[in-house]
Amino acid sequence: MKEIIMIVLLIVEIYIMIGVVFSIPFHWKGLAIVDKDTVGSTLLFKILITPGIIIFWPHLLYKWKKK
Amino acid sequence: MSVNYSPVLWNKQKKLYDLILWIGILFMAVTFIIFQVLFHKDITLQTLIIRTTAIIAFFLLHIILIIGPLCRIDKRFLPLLYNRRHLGVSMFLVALIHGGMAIVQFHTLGDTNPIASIFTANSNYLAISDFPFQVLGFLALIILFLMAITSHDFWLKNLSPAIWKGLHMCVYLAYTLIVIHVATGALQYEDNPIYWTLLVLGVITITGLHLYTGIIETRKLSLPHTLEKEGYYKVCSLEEIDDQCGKSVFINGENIAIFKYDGNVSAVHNVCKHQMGPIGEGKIIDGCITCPWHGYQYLPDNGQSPPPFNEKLKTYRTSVLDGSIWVHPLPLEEGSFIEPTKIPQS
Ligand code: HEM
Ligand code: FES
Repeated sequence: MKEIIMIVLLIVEIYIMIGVVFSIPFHWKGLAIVDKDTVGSTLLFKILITPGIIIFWPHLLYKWKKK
Repeated sequence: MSVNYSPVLWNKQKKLYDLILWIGILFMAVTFIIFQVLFHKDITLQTLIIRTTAIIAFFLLHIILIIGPLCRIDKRFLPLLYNRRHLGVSMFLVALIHGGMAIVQFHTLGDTNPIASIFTANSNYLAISDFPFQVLGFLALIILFLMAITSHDFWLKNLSPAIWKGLHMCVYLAYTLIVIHVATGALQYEDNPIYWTLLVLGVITITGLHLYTGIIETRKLSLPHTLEKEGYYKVCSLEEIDDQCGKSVFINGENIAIFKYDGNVSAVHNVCKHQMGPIGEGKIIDGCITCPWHGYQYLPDNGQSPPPFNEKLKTYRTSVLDGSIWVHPLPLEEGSFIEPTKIPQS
């Protein structure tokens, strides 16, 4: 039981790490490509959506590559 | 509808809403803390915080879940709905303190990773009175977390409304998990029946209100529209709709909003592009149909949001005959212009 939980947690940790790394180039370039309405938005807006970017990175990566 | 995103949509009413909300939270906290200290003299600070935040978050969750049906029963509850998002995020923050403190209190002392410890510290998954209820709280907290971080309109648009709605419907799953979390957790040590009574009353209120509005709505769906002529169905008399107002009808499974304005009649799809608000319960403001929930606007004759916005609704053909409004339930493509029906002057 414990082993399985540790493995799942490790996978979740890796997934989140990738999300954190992904959020940097995404803020830099991707955000404006995926949704042009975000151009000129405030720093607070960018901070507010960052947790979502870290969690939903595969979805955003897919949308970014498609455009 | 937003041309540019702002971090938090605050206006005068919403600021007032948030102010009242947080005063309410503080008031509940103080009252509850006084009671706890009076009745459990030896309570520790951690337990005090864990319990107070639990009760407040659970109470707020009840409010959140009954707002929807209440607004369907009586429109005077609409102002509550208007800012439900801030209510949700506030509830999450309070629940986070509860979960966080519980993890610190019960799971950081051993050598196991605290999150793993939630799952392994107690493995009586088949027991009732010693069930690992904290796992359920944890899963509920994850759902509330996902909802809170996607509460901005940016996510509604970029996750797609369908995924977003699906995610946010999980609030009912979270609620169920929390009810079991409470029933198998804290209530196992409480012998005062008041706690069980409150829990059951809460469940009855929430399911009851949802069932009640559900039944009303299905009845509306199956309302017989007896009069039909060349595909047009009779809806109501002209007087039944106030000027610059609307009416929602279900005809052949189509959810239609009919508006009477400036001597004209027009009909559009009754589901707002923003969060599926009931457009027919809105009004015409500045020549636009205005959704009662968050104010998205659409032109009545073509269902399009005025530039620079680009939301579009399906439109329906209407007709006025012998003082009654008729509508054709076959929708035209989103954003199609339909000449408004002129109301004959008598
Ligand atoms: C990581 C997640 C969570 C953990 C580890 C956790 C842990 C606990 C613990 C240890 C108790 C018993 C407290 C006591 O009686 O001294 C408790 C009670 C309770 N929890 Fe949670 N919980 C979590 C999430 C949640 C969430 C998301 C809610 C939803 C609002 C919630 C609502 C409650 C309620 C209403 C009680 C009963 C309060 C009382 O004791 O009077 N919990 N929880
Ligand atoms: S649902 Fe939000 S404006 Fe209509």
